Amino acid sequence: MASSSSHRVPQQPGEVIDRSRTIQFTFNGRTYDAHPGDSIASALAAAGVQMISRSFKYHRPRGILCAAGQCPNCLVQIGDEPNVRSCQRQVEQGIAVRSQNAWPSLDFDLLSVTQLASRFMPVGFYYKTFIRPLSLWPFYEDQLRHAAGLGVVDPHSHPAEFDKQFLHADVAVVGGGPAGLGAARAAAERGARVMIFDENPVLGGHLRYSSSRASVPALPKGVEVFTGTTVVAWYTDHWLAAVRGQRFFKIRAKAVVTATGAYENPLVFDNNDLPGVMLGSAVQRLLRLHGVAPGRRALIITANDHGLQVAADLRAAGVEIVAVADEREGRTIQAAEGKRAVRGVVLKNLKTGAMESFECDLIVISVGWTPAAGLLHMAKAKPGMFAAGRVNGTHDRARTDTEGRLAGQAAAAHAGFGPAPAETLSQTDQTQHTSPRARVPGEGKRFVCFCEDVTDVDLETALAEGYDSIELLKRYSTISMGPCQGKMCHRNSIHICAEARGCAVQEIGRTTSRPPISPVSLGSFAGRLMEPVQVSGVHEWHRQHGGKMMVSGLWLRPEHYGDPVAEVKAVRERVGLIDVSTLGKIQFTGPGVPALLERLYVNQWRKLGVGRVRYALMCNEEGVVVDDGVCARLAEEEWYATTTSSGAAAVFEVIQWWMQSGWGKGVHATELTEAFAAFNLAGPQSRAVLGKLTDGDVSNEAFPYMHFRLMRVAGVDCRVWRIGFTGELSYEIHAPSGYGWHVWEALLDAGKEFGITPFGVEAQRVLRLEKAHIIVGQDTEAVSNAIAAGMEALVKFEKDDFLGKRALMRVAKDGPKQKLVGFQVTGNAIPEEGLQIVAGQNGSRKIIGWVTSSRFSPTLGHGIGLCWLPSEVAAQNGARFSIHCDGGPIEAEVFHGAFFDPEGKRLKS
Amino acid sequence: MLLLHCPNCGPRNAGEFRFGGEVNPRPANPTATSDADWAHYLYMRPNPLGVQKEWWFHRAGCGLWFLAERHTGNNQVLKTYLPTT
Repeated sequence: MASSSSHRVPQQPGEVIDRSRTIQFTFNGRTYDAHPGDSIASALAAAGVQMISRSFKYHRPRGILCAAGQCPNCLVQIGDEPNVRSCQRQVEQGIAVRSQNAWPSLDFDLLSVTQLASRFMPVGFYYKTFIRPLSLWPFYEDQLRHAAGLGVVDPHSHPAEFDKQFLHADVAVVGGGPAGLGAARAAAERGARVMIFDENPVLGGHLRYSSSRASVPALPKGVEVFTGTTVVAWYTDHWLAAVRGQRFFKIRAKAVVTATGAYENPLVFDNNDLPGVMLGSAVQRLLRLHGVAPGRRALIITANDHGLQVAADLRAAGVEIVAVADEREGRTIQAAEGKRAVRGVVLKNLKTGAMESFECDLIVISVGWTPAAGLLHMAKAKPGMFAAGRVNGTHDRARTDTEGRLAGQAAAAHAGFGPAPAETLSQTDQTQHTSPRARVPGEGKRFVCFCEDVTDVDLETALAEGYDSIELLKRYSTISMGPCQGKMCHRNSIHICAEARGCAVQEIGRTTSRPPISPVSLGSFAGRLMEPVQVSGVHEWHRQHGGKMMVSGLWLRPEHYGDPVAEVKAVRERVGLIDVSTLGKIQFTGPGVPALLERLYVNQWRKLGVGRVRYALMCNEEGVVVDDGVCARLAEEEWYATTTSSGAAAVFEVIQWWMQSGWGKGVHATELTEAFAAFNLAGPQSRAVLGKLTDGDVSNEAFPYMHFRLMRVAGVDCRVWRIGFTGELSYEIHAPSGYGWHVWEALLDAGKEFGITPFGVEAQRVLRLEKAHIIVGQDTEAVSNAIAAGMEALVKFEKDDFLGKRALMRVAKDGPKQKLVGFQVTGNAIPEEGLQIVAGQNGSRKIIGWVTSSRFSPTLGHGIGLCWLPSEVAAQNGARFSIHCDGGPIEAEVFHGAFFDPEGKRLKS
Repeated sequence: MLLLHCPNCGPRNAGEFRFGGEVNPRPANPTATSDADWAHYLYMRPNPLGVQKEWWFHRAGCGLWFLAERHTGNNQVLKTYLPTT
């Protein structure tokens, strides 16, 4: 049964609801009516529902407080979406809204008994109580999660699609109230590209509902309007972050006008959190925007004329005004009364202390304002940052208009549109009095922080315990750390802190303002789940032929095509083809190349003849191996090098850096990684296969091992290397990327009669391990130097200088402590990579090394690998050691040299 | 987000760049440098509060390293330019 809209008042000018239509939604299972344009909170208020949620710690009833999305009191769960601000979310037909923090139900919350025990749950309660015993923490945590939470995350919910968008503005105006509108107009009139952002569904700010309401002025054409958009952060150089629904905006502006207005201050008194205690601006929003009077008998607590205006507005809407307690006349509130909502109030005479009781169902608090200055505090005093309106402390309409115009002109000038305005304004003349009072002492509970149920007594306790700096007070009491980000409590906590310390409010300072200002769904930051991947030119071929793809850095590569052992055998016995397009490729041109290479790599280059290839090992200044590859001299001044697949981008950046730091004379370097597809044709039959596709002489005499030829393969000009990572006769063919697919298929066609088999990364890992070839980054780590890694023969100390020379000279002199060495297992077990090598018995056991590579060798029929061992152990061929493993130790022995074809006959055949 | 003026590409978000650290010239003759000086070159940085000369690489742009003079206290970039070597 739908409930009646008993709290609706007659139609208001400028209201946002469509009274001609009625929609339904449910709240805790009960059906309610709403009009399109209603927020969930306004629809509930219209139906007379005051209690919307239960509080975080004590499970106290809570209702609408600010009606502006600035407090935590009306957070609800909609379906699988937790922590929805019900005053900001419009009702949609059929939505199911539930209360948060209530168990088993909002009306009857068993956990509200926690407030009876609140005397035993003081500030710092969690820190003090649940520390010991540590072993019980998982139990405590589970109980606390149940008792204190903010909605429920459904791990099975379908993730929404979140997008990001970049915006570029000359002037970004944050806040669409009168000051912001004036600034946007003034900046646009100077020709600046202006964007204006406001979190409300329409522009106008308080012009739409406050005492000084007026028609909302139109903006000049060309101003880009972003309503329903909350600017949540300011970053360096006017880079703003804003959220609209599931879209995250990254805005780069030349100048920013902050016209974010002000938050109305709550007052701290007994039971100040009862549903029915509401800020004056909240009452005006409900009245003017939604046509709802949130009570029938109202009592106004005020310290300025704004409260009197609210009283007049309520009376005009037919609400009975029980009393107006004006602090300026010596009266304020002592306590709100009622169990689940306001039923009465006790007023206090500030001079005589006399108390007076009234019956009412609405208490309006209108005692002053705090500027919504979060963005300004983030930015601090930066050139190009301007403020106007209530955030400046200006409430006077005429002055607001002037401030807006001047801020807009100044921002436009900063962005390069016209001169800075000559006109200046005198110091702010505060027209809306803000009470210096933060609280009225009493005997009940007085909440400073509604998010986390922190009372003024909690703050006093924390201050007495010595947490008397505002930053410490925040961290210890959690004040201002809840979902409202301090909007409701920050000002009052500073005042209470000043009161306790007996100093001026200004001396307390404020806590650091950090992004985001308002709560943001994590999905907005994350964006869409998009992992960038790189694929080779024959990626589709791999997929169509059963390639099981694996991630390798940014690349997707085939791990195997179904049977890696068969792939190993095919390469050893016949011929295989692997896609190595992922290798980094760099072309060096110029007379200075040999000198550069001599410095970049540990090897010797000056004497490398044209058409020759050399293994290239790169270290850093600490002698640590950072990359390896091969490098060929194509012509006198043309060189072509490869790098590891994963290191390609970083290595090129490092090379560029050394070149631009003075080593680049007479050299031009070009990265060709994606310009060339690369395929390695490996196996005893590879020469026969290649021979079918080229007119070039591929005989061992004409094209020997470690040589390079430019050669036409399948009609395509290719760069062909005779190298052998796999230990077999092999040719690495680099074809221009656009011809990659053609060359790949031509090689496979030509190899058919020889039983050619495509092979993947897994087979290559086994093949190279059988030759004890290392993989940089797998067999070496961030501290593995070239000598320890067994590359001493490659390090040419006779060169004048090269990266790592000084460090490696030291290692060569002292001898490395650990060495990378091959091993073979003596039993049947294959140790996992990463396992520790241990020595000694029982109590004296210690780790002496670890396994970096390990595989079953199909060629040899037993397990082989590479490992790090103390140099003295590694030096003895056949030395036995044991690898620690859960299922019992695995025995292994040191093995020097390649496991397979140690003389390299097959490579050179 | 810091806005950096790449000498080739103009103003771009700092996210497009790789930071290369303070300018730290390599001793001309490493093998003749004392252990203390070499260790200083490898590991010690002045890390000043003030204007610092530093390297940036425009990874998502022109692919060149350039120099920036940036105030580490307020993140103001005073100038950017290509090295003249």
